[in-house]
Parts: sequence; structure tokens; C-alpha cells
Amino acid sequence: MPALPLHTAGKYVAAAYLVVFTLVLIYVAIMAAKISRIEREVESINELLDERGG
Amino acid sequence: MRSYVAIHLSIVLAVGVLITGAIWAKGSWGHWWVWDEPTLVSFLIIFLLYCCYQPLRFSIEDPERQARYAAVFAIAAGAFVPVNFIAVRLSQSFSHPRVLSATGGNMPGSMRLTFLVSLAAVALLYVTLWKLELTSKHASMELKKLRRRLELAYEERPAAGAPAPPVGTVPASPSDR
Repeated sequence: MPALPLHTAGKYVAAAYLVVFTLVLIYVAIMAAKISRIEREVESINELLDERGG
Repeated sequence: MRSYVAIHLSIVLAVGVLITGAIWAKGSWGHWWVWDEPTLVSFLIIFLLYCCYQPLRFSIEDPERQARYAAVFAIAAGAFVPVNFIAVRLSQSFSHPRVLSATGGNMPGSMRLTFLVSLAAVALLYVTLWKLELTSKHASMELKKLRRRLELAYEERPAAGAPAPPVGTVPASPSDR
């Protein structure tokens, strides 16, 4: 027997899933931004080395 | 660095625990938060303790002292985790029945399977995100070192036919140009 009937518990469960999903999404988005910044930095260093090498 | 990333990620997930726990409490107890409930307050204390980790770490400049003090703090704060676990077990008021115990607990079989699968999924998510952030931090640190070495190399040995750029002019990223 669940602690709450489904028609009452449904909105709370949905809210909890939404919170977890949003948190993970924000975290992954921040990490993606950091990784793309690292990629840009690697690219700029490569370009610089090409200029110096050429 | 590994403990720093682990604690950072744990704080993010602990925010989720606090919010979803409050939602559960509202559904089950009719209150978002109960201040005289030891299960909630002990978790909040641990959360606030770990929130102090990063300010403490970055308030120390010497890297060796920073690592040592941060490790001591992390271990001392970790001692509160079993306290929190025991508080949940000892709590009489409000708490749901003990769902996990040596004798099987009070969780129905179908619910137990869902719980264990969810537990494994969250653990895997944690490890994946931890590795991702750790790799990103290492890459960032290596890039900083590489840039510093390049600056030094340009300063010491300018390329033929080109004047050496002064230190600090090697672009950090396209946005810095």
C-alpha cells in the first residue's frame, strides 16, 4: 500500500523528477560550456604554434 | 583535486536531496520542513558543513597547506555522515518505516527492485559526472601550464624574422584576442 494514493502523490513525484532533471541538466550544461572553452583554448594555442612554425 | 570534484558534485546532488526531500515531506507529512525532526536537521548540518569546504580551500594560497587542510576538513565532516544515518534510525517521530535492514525491511519486492535499480543508476550518474568534471579540470590545468611554457619559450627564443611577443600577450582564448 503506497503512502499516498496515486492521484495525490502524482504531482509530488512529478515535481521531484523535475527538480532532479533540472539540476542534472544545469550541471551538464555548465560542464559543456567549460569543455567548449577548453576546446577553443586548444585551438588558439594550435593556431599560435602554426603561425610561429610557419 | 579528486576530493574537491567529489564534494562539489555531492553538494549539487545534496541540493536535489533537500528539495526533493521537502517535496516528499509536504506530500507525506503536510509540511515542507520540520525543524525538530533530527533526520532533516542532521542532513542540513552535513550539507552546510560541506558547503564550507570550498571557501575554506580557496582561502588558503599555499597549495600544499590548501590540500592538507582541505583533506582534514573533508574527513572531519565525513564523520557526521554516520551520525546522520544513526539519527534516521533512531528517529521515532514522523519517519517512514525502516525499509532496509538485515531481516529484509518493510519494502515490498517490486518497490525494492525499483529502488535498487534507481540507486545503481544514480551511483553510475555520479561516477560519470565526477569523471567528466575531473577530466575537464585536468585539461584546464594542463592548458594553463602549456600556455605558461609557451610564453616562456617565446620570451627566451623568438622565431626567426619575428619579434618575440612580450609575456602575457599569448592569447588565452579567442575571446581574449
